[in-house]
Amino acid sequence: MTAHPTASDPAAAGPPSAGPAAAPLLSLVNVTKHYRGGGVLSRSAAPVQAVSGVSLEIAAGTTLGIVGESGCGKSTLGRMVVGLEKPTDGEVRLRGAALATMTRAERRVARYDVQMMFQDPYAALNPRMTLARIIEEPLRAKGGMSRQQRRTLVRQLAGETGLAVSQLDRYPRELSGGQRQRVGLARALATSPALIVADEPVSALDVSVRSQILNLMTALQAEHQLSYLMVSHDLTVIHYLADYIAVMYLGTIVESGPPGQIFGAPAHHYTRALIDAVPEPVPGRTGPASAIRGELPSASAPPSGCRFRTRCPAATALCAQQEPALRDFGAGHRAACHFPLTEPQAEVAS
Amino acid sequence: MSAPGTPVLQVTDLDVDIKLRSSVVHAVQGVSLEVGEGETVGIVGESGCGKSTLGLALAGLLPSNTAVRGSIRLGDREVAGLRERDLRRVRGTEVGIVFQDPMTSLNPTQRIGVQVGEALRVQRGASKAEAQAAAADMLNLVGLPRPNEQLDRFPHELSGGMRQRVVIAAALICRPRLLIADEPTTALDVTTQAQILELFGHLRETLGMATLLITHDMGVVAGHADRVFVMYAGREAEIGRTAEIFDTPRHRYTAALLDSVLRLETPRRSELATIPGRPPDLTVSTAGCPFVPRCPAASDQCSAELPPVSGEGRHHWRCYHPADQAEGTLSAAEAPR
Repeated sequence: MTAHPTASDPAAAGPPSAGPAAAPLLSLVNVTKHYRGGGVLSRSAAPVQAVSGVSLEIAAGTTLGIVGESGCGKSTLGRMVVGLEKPTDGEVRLRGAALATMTRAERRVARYDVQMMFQDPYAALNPRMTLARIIEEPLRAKGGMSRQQRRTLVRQLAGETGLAVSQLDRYPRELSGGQRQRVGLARALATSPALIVADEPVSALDVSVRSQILNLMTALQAEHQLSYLMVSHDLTVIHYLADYIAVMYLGTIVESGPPGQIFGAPAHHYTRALIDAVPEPVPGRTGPASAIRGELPSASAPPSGCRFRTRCPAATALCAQQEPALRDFGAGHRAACHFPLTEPQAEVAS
Repeated sequence: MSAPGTPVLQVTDLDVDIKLRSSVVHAVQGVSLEVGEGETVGIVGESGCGKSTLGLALAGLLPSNTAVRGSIRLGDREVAGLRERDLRRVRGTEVGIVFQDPMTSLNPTQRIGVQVGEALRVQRGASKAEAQAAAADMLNLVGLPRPNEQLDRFPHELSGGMRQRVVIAAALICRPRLLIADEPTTALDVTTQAQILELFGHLRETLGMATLLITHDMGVVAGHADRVFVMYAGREAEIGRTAEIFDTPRHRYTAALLDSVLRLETPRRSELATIPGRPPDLTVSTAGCPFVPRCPAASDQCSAELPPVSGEGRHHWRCYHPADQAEGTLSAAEAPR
């Protein structure tokens, strides 16, 4: 499977190793993550194939959205990007340099260049620290600033994320969910990262607060030339924020492309089903009866051929025999399906 | 009224107070609501607005540190103030309940057949064989493949969507007239959510029970509720047929809530509408409309006195400055402050 880039450079096809002179901010090259299978009692169980051969790129200042249902490997992918997990195979590269082969000093720099924002800000914030201390923490770890400089920066970050300076002495339990997510953003921004990995950043929030956080993320991105890797099961959020979208199913990317193509002319049956399943706030509209049935198969024994075939309305014998290659649908749009919903342009060389 | 004869559920002037160590949360205040046979009423609002407490009160599942005033009638029977023993009977036979997380509703150490059939054994004195047979029928009805094989399995052997089907089967085994579903699809993936919502529609047609669908997701109520009850700060803000609520919301809170919903048609990266501030602290009683601090149309009158219920037909709201009927949202000119 091959890479694909960004809205800023949608025409750049081909594997990232042969990519343009300026390396993308982040590239994933054939990244794979397998976990040892089973619990403590079943040492011989087949490994869980959480992520299998994913290649993607993120250009500076853009948002890559990864969408899929639970168990598709999207969170594992995010965790590998911030270095919380190591790939079993393949490479995560930051500005062209592979994380795995970096020296200690280089990795230290890389760590502050990529920060993370979590779904449940309450679980992610230390309940015994004041907000000021929470936001300051990564700065202390990074070093190189005086106490006074850090204090000034913390106040500035609070202002940027819409927190009152008077709140900085408070503890996380005194805040609402939206305010906690603002703290999560302020902390992620503290080290001036180039990339923030946001795993379901607004899923736990009420609609009104969700809008506030999305507005804030959009404004901060423009101001700081930030890139986001946005992981979500919510298509409306992905549609709103992402410049380039990758749809994951059982550890692989089944379709990727700019939002116009993904939502306007999806090629993969799974993408179509995901879009149809979004409950639209229009009275009486229940959406088409869900085309896909059944359950997500086990990631330790994925189906042969196309992994989606067991739930696909269009599957044939071919789908069980042969894994569909990623094909080019034009304008940076790719999908891996033997019987796509739209006409492909050509086979992508891999 | 669409409900023929007596409504399945009739709530009148319901208050629920939750007593904490040093304060009292007025979680539900003066709520009145009717649900007819076969009708689905969606209850929406932000977290902390009292939707779940209302659901628990109607199910008779409130903890002991609560005080309930007002009337809850199921059919022609008053259930507010019943003793625990009598409540248990009502709960098992007349009201079914489905919560958000199926894993917390199911006993991990018990086989599925036993759990689904339990209410029949306890409430109706069914034999073990009868309960198992009924459980298999019910599992079939909720769409579990090979129901007879599932009876002997444990909850952890099933996926989240299948577990929620099991919970629904257990809730409906005694054929209750009222089903209370509190965020029944919030923990599920979108494709599974779509399947479960389809199932609710199917069950309603087959069994004809009334349903209270409690959710924060306007998309879910839009497609699946006949009427929508909008709650704010423990009170009724607005109630009406689903199309009325979505097309011509009158309460400013309803309008603001609908405006802030993210849709696939929302222009990418556009400035999204928000509701400033947050829901009020329900330990503090206020005289006026609780939405005043966040409302673009609030006047002195709003702070002084709670707006009475006004409305047309079955569409009611509590607002002195209802949103324009044609637009459904606030026009800048009519905002007095």
